[in-house]
Amino acid sequence: MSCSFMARSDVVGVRVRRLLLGAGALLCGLGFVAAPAAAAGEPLPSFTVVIENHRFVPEEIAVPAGERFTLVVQNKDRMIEEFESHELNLEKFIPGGTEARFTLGPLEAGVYGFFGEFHPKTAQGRLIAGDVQAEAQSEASTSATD
Amino acid sequence: MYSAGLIVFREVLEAALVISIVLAGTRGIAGRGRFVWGGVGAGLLGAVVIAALAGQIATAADGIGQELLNAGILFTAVAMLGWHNVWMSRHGREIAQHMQSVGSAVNEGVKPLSVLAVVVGLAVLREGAEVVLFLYGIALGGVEALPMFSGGLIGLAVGATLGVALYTGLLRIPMRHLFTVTSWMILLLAAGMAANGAKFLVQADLLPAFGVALWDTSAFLSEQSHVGQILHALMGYTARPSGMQVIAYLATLATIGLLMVTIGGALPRRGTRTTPSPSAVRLQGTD
Repeated sequence: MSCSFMARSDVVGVRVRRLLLGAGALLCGLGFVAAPAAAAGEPLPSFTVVIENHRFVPEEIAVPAGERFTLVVQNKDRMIEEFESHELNLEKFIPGGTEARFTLGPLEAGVYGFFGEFHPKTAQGRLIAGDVQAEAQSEASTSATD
Repeated sequence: MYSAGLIVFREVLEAALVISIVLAGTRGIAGRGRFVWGGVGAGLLGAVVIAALAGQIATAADGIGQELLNAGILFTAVAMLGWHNVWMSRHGREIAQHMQSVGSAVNEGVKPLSVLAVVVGLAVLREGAEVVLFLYGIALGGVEALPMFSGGLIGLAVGATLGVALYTGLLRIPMRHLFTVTSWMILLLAAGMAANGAKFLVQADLLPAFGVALWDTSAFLSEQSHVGQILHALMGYTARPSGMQVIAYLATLATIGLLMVTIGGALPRRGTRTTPSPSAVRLQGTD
């Protein structure tokens, strides 16, 4: 039995599939190479929020608008939390006793909410992106952790 | 108990919608149930493995291991769904109408079906890992486990029911339109997944955001509302997408759509028939 039209398009289909898979694999590979490269450079202002008893401490954090910055989320609970924000398009599991860092911004001035998906009733917080006050606070917190 | 049910419901729904659309889109292809449910089983096993490795994954690759894994899973699924759509555009109608023997199924159906098993498996893997992490965390935490687990079971049942409802609803569509409809749904699924994958790469700081929120429709339809979540699962609806997410969405629509039209021959051509082509009938007859 010969299905010539099938065979021809099958070959095309196999090529297309391999191309798409190869592109996907390349993307992942690039990610592993790019990761260390992205980490290099001047340190950005850093802000920390802690997950404790399924709540964020503090619940509100002032951050600079118009600038890149780092947000560190420390999970001091035993249970894993899923840190999520619709406003910032963030989604990450933070196992208990670990922390995650996010490089954010530049943000326009405003309020950006985040929450813990596994404990949405209690784990609610906000980033308030503003200007001068936030920069003064970040200098105080980064020098305090030196 | 309600919050546990809601979390499990959300994840089960996302996987159930993918499974339902894939099942409906391969109606008539013999043996596809085995592949799809096999994919589900493998996905569940994988979900447990991923959940067990969550700590290592999180710290891998300088802290962006999770984002890379998620993006890798999502873009692989996009590629497979795209391939499936192109393949089905070329062959689906004829095969489904002529598939009578298991022998034919093995020859002509296996390739797209194994691709679907992978797609379904990846969907179950992604959503299942989240459910496992959540339930396991609760079990560890010493919180009243029973109400949480029963809430989770209810969430699973409701999510699965909605998936079945979608499947049954899709089956009401006449065969000659079913492939087209499910192809469009799969196209939107793939675009949504690509946007989601892009979101993780932006989060990992590997891609620029091109604007944190290109628009904000959260007042009109919140992502947290039930309709919003269903639309998110079906077509990647995001209330405040970053520019990169929009680019990924449109690029995927354009790329797969173009491939479907050119290689797949998806658009009606001059003299197209919805009945089987004579050449396909002859080939079957000369087995």
